[in-house]
Amino acid sequence: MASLCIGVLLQYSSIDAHAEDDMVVIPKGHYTPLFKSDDGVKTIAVESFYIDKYPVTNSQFHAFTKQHTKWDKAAIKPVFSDSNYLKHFSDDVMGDIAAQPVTNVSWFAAKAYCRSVNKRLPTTSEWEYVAKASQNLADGSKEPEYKQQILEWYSRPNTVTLPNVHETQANYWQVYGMHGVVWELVSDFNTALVTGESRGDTQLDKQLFCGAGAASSVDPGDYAAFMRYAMRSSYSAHYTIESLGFRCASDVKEIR
Amino acid sequence: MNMNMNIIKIIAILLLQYCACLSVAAAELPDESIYYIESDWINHNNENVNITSLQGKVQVVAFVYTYCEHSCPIILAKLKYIENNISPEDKDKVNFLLISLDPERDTPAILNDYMKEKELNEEHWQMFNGDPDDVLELAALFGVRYKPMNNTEKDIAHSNMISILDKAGRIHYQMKGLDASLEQVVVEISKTAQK
Repeated sequence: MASLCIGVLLQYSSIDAHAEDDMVVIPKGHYTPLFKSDDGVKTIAVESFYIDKYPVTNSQFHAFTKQHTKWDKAAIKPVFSDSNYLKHFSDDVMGDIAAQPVTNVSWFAAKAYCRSVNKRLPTTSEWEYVAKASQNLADGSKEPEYKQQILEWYSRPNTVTLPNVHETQANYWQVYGMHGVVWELVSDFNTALVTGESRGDTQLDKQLFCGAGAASSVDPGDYAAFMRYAMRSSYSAHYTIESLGFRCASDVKEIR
Repeated sequence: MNMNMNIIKIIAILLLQYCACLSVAAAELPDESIYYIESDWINHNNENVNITSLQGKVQVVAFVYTYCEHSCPIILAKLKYIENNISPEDKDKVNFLLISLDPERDTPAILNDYMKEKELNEEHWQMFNGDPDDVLELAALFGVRYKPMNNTEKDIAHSNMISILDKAGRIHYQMKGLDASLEQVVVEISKTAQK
């Protein structure tokens, strides 16, 4: 009995640690993916999980590269990143950019960062599930003006200076800066299947993809989601982009 | 006593050589080598294999799942064609590696059955089961995309690609799509096997 109690306590304390660690718990729910399959499955169940309140900042990422030198700007292997990796880090002094979201990082580097703090990248379903919340509602799609607000950001050119993560807008879940700051990496970006040659076409190339026929039929309702989908499907894991950052997530362990 | 000393000396020399080999291999890994990921896998014989141990041989790599009824049998047929057309002197320098996209269903035992059923010779063929996260990462390195489908067969849509890794783990050549030339793949394997 004593050991059981200790076990439960330990698990509670690790969850508390996450809560203090600027993460919030997202209750389980459903996410409706942009692309539907032929069998009519329209929603994907999303289990409860933790997600960072804020995107990872330059200073957090900088500290990581000093501790895990494999990911240092000078040491990173080209197989894990293109040559623009952390190009905005001019020296070890962060200055004004310290609290801004880190960008110019590859998927491999983002994944390694999350792993180093015992977290992981969120899945597409998890990210989209959190992203559909507006300021006041868990499902922002019920607010027409919310979609409009997001679209305005997607149609705006990249701003030169990124805001500090704490100064961005919080949504219903108290997760900050999901829209309007940077694009964000997800763990399973390479499960977004659109071939380079057929971006205007919702039919996948059957030559290139086994089971491609099952992936057609698009729901064109959410244009911003379509842009994110297109971004993911054209992304390669070693690419770095000036406007692409990330935040981490972690599982909620069942404790009862 | 003397003999004992000699044995100890021989063992020491062998050990030193072994260590030297290991460190040279690590030091000489080129920047573009995928073996920097260092992930651990379980093969069709239920043995732990670190991916870095694949160096030294040319690896012909494809991502598959064993119950795939559409393009995977075609990929396998193409790989066998390639195997049968490699020159005899290259054969021992080349290994075929199939990585499962569905580690949950493709257990090592199922991979083993698949190898037997498809008559894949263990000397030249290997199948990998791994952590889903490592599968995703390795697929990302090869530029392979895949997506589990919601259809009744639980298919996995995936890129049809055959990749050739050189002995140091650099991607030497990739055949994309099912109509690409197999002769070219054989030529490329031979080129990199000779190096």
